Amino acid sequence: MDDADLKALLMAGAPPASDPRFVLAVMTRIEQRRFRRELAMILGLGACAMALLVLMAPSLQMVWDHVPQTSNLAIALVLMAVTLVMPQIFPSRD
Amino acid sequence: MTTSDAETAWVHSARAGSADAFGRLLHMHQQALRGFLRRLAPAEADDLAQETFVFAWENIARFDPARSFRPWLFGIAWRKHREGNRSWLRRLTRQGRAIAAVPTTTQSDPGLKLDLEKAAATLPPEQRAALLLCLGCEFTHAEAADALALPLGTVKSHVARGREKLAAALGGSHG
Repeated sequence: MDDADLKALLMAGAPPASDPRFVLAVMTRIEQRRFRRELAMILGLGACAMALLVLMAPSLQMVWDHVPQTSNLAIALVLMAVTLVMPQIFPSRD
Repeated sequence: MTTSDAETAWVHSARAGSADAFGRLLHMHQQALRGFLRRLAPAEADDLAQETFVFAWENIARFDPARSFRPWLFGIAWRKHREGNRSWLRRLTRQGRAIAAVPTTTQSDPGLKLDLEKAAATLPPEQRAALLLCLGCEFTHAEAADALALPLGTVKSHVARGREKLAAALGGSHG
């Protein structure tokens, strides 16, 4: 048995050159991993934000009670804007 | 644009976060990588190949574009194969998943295939991997050395000895 025969034998039974099912399976796995990682990050950040809010609640309540009604509205709008801008600052990969 | 130029462009785009470019790299290398893994670990080859590509995508930012992409990718596959052999739990999980996805191969001579598998199984793992890369995947010795993280001389000697052993084993049974 020469080199060419051995090479042919080793290459025989190779998967197809184009296999959309395999490509799709890999891309699905990549998306699943990304989804899980992003979900864990969002849950972690959410839990941290919640804990921080609970700790700061008494001080925030005092400030909230002493500022005028119009300022309260402005603060609420700023918080909403920050929430909307966050995904632009930390975009996910395409 | 040559295949190599296209590959370089896709690697750059994938490093910048393009899943589409990575999909093209995946399409380009899946056949050779799965073929290599099927000879190393037939039952879990496709699962191992999927893990390799997922790992490559997640770590492509660490890939040095001055290097060749193919040896880097096959190096990941080789390390995953070796890690899988060490971790019985991972191996069990992989084999379980592989039951539903047995590779479909067309082989003209099943007897010869069995002989090849038997003969290849007698080779030490690194020798078998070096031989598969250089003969089965048309790697240069330098690329195989890069993928397997072995010195060039060791790879050359693995390929020469492995080739001799396989030729002797198969030549003996099939003329």
